[in-house]
Amino acid sequence: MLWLAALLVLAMVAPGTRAQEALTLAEGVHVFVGDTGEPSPANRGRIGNIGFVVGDRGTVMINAGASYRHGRALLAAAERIGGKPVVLVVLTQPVQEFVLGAAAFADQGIPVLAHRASAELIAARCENCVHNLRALLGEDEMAGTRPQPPDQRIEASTTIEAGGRDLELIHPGWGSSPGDLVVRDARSGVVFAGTLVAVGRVPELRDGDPAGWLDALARLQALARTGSGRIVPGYGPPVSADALDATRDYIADTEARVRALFDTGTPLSAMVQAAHLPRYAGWAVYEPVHGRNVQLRYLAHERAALAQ
Amino acid sequence: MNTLISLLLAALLTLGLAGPAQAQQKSDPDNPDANATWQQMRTSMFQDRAITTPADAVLSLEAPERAQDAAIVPISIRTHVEQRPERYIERVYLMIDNNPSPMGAVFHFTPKSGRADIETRVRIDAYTHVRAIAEMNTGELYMATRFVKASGGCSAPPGKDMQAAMASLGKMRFRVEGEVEPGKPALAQLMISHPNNSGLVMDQLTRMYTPAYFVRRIQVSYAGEPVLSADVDFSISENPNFRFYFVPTGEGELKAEVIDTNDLRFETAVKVGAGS
Repeated sequence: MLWLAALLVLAMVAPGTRAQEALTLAEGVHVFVGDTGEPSPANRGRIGNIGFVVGDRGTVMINAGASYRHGRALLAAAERIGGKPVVLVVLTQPVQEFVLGAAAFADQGIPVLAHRASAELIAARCENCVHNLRALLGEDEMAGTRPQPPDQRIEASTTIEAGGRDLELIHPGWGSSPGDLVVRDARSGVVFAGTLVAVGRVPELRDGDPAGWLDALARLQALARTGSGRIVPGYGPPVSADALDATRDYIADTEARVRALFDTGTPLSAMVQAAHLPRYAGWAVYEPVHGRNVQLRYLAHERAALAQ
Repeated sequence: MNTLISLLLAALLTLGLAGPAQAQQKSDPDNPDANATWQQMRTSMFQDRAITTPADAVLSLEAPERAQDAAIVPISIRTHVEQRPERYIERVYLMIDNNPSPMGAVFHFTPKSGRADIETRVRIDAYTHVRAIAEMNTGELYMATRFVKASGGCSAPPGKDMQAAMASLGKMRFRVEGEVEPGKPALAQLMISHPNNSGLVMDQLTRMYTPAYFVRRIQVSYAGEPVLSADVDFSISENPNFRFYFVPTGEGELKAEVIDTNDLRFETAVKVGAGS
């Protein structure tokens, strides 16, 4: 009996061995909950959450997956589950696990929408990501993958109607990236936060502005509390507004610790160890992402000091 | 300086188009002596002179086993020899075997340095050995090595546009750490605002390589006497940063002069006295 259970568990977690299953949060609101680790051959780079919202006439994808193949699989699964054709892809942030599947949608004539700043970052760096992922995941897994320039670019918050559903696209300013887009489904109130929120996982501060990020989190919490209360994070399971406190605390604690260590002359070589934060050590990707975050914020303080 | 440049050129030519993947295979973590680039550098720089390694009583090298960011890898060289006029560390060579230009820096010290420790940050192209070689004024050579795993991350963060970097070009800051006591080696940090472009990075939008432009020489003096000078190369990261020692006397000026590959010269100075 035990071995049978073990086999079942294996079958459930083994990636790519079965059709995509989605979590349903409200009528027509679904999410594929992805791995929370770093990209690896085991997870095929398919980390982070991909959402989709099904209206009377069509489906809107929220993010596009980590490769051309992943994009194809998401497109097929969303259309199978929702029963409506995908009519639009919204990219919330220009991270590889969200954007590199976009070409699979574009090749079917499906428009791809992003904030202008995200579109610029995709053009400036995603070729490099594809190159690195090929080395990590192999040519076969990455076959056909190419950066797809978004063909619809927005500059500020707006409300759109797509597939028969109203969606608010909110740009809260430069939070986790310069072109953050939060997607709120008007009917259900479910909020898709993208990389602004990571649950049980250390957020990657690389593209972020810590002060703007904290503001954006406060705004997200207020937004969620006026609706269904459900927030789909970029990583980890869907949560309610209170759970965002943990992301907020991580950013604030890291920022405070790095600032204090920088001010007292700690050298960069000693920073990763000195800025260890036990409270978050159990989160996914703490090693190596926390170390990267620490170094990055230290260097930002240094640049600011030099520019004075 | 001429030797450094000719060495760099020789190394670039011999490495040819070897990519990181090839370079990776060229280094065996457990056998630092086997690397072909190192063998060549060793012969051209030190001929058949003996190099003692490990040499923990003379120097040690600290580097992360796995780099947080391949573009900025902190390297700390600690020495355990008092800088006495009769016997001191005169040079420290910093080498990165599998970089396009393996000789990252040559640091020159004097008895006035107090200690020949140096900390800086380097770019690392591939899995590689990093070496610190100390050369005594009396000619002996000592080496410490570390194997570092670094490879290109997804990308540079946004907002680091060249215009902003150029606006603060050549700005420098000195920071003297801790209490200053006359006669006791004091720790100083020199920060330099400079893009330190390697010339090896392609802009994905313009398809053009950003031209090489980097700091090539640093000279630091205290009360008119040299305490540190360095011939450095594009392996040094953006915004070059050096932590080093000097021996303060009663009162004096710590002064830095920096020259880049466009022959621009930048200067900064700070008064250092007891209790400052």
